[in-house]
Amino acid sequence: MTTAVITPVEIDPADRPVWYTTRLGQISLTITIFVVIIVIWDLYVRLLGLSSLVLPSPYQVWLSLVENTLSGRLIDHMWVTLSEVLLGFLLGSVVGVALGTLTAQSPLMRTILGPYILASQAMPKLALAPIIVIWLGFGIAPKVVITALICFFPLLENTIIGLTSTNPHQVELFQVLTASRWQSFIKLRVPNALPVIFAGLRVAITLAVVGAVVGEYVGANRGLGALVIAAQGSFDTPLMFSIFVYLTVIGIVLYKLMELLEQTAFSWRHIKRGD
Amino acid sequence: MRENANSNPNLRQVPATAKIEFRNVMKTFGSGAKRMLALNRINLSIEDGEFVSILGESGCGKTTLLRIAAGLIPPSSGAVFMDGIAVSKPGRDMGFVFQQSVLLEWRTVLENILLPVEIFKLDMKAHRQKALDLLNMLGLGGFENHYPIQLSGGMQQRVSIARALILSPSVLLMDEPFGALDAITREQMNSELLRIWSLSKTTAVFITHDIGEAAFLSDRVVLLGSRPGRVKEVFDIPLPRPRTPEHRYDARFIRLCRDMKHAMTA
Repeated sequence: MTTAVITPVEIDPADRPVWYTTRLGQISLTITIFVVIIVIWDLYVRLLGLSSLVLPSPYQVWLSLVENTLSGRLIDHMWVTLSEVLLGFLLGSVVGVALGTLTAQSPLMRTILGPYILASQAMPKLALAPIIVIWLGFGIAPKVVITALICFFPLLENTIIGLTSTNPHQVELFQVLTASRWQSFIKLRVPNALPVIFAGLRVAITLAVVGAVVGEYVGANRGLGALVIAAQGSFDTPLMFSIFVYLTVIGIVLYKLMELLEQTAFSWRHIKRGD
Repeated sequence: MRENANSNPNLRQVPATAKIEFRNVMKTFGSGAKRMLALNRINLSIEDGEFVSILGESGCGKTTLLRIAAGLIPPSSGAVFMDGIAVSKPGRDMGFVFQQSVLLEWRTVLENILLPVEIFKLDMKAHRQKALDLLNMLGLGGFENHYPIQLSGGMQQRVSIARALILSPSVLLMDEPFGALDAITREQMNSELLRIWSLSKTTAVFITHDIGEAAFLSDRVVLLGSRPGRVKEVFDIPLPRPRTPEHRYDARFIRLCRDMKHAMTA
């Protein structure tokens, strides 16, 4: 395209963009896959004559979704779950970053605390849910704590990694400049760690939804997780599927919000090398 | 490094003429059977405003020597004196340029250059204009708000030179700053460095393994021998200044390079 063409030349068909490499083509393919899945699902239910108790058809799910959204039932429970997710995420992240920062200060601390950090990582946090419910009752508190626990570890680990994996050349630069410990921390280690910490936040926010819902499974009468259990009790499978749709949307929206925040915070990372 | 020099009887004064003086500098690494002598009794004195290159093949200890001069690592014995005072730690009066540009990638060019001003808590406003002047001098006017990732390797290294010069140090220490650049960019950078050095009137110590680069830049070239690192020979470069790329084809220049090459491989 930059070469000067003297006579008009046929464009080689091979040079033309193939339809599925264009933005529009990609979007239509994504939508097509969705339609195909829905059609297969529908056919499967119809041909096998499945009861809606086992697997409702897409249409039945849609009806339940609309009905329970309009009645406000799903929305009410969603706010409960969402507040547990956000409070737990906030609590877990703040404590994770704080303890990670402390641990990162000395190699001695990392050596001493290392086995405990590993053990607490390996321990499945969700297995603790029943005991936390026993301790904290059936209100919002145990769900927030379970969510916080599950968010805590990615942030603890990523904060430690981010704060300790500093480029040795940059450390030497700060030595040459006779920077104080505090200056090196705030002007070098923290900016270096932030992208890693944000990666931890992105992991944590999706885990947070899991934490809140499992917390509600174990013991609650409000929240989307509690509603799943209630729907199971009343054999309302279409409602269960509606809740799954809500949970998925919550997860996607929260993840995208984190991503947006990250892109705003690290605009320099997205600059392409200019010519 | 200057404050208590006079009160400390262990620090001997040297005649004020030498800007930097290496006196019997030795450095060993490791201990026991793995003990290795990296630098053996380096004696060298560098005058104020002089441009001296330290030339040697890799592993001869030239970077170690520069780090000792910068106060980044202590010598095993002997001492380096700056303005007659023994160096024990890095100081504000010294600019350091690394092999890599070592820019902070989350900061703009201007913010990178002003980092030393921040660290030493000096007046940002006054130095801002100076940073912009330095950028202009280095042919990077208009790039102050770019991020390092947007610059080529040569441009990044220029930014790091501006950062080293922002506090007007009297000594500029450079550790193979152009080693990672291609030959053409390197020659351009050599000329630019000389221009900015002649304007800033600092004493320059330049580490390199490139004979042509050492000869082109320097008033004197100190050839280090390997294992252990020691001063093998010192060459005066009597070419006039300002130097131009044409000097590289000067008969005297070529002869000097040949002599250095022979001395290096001897």
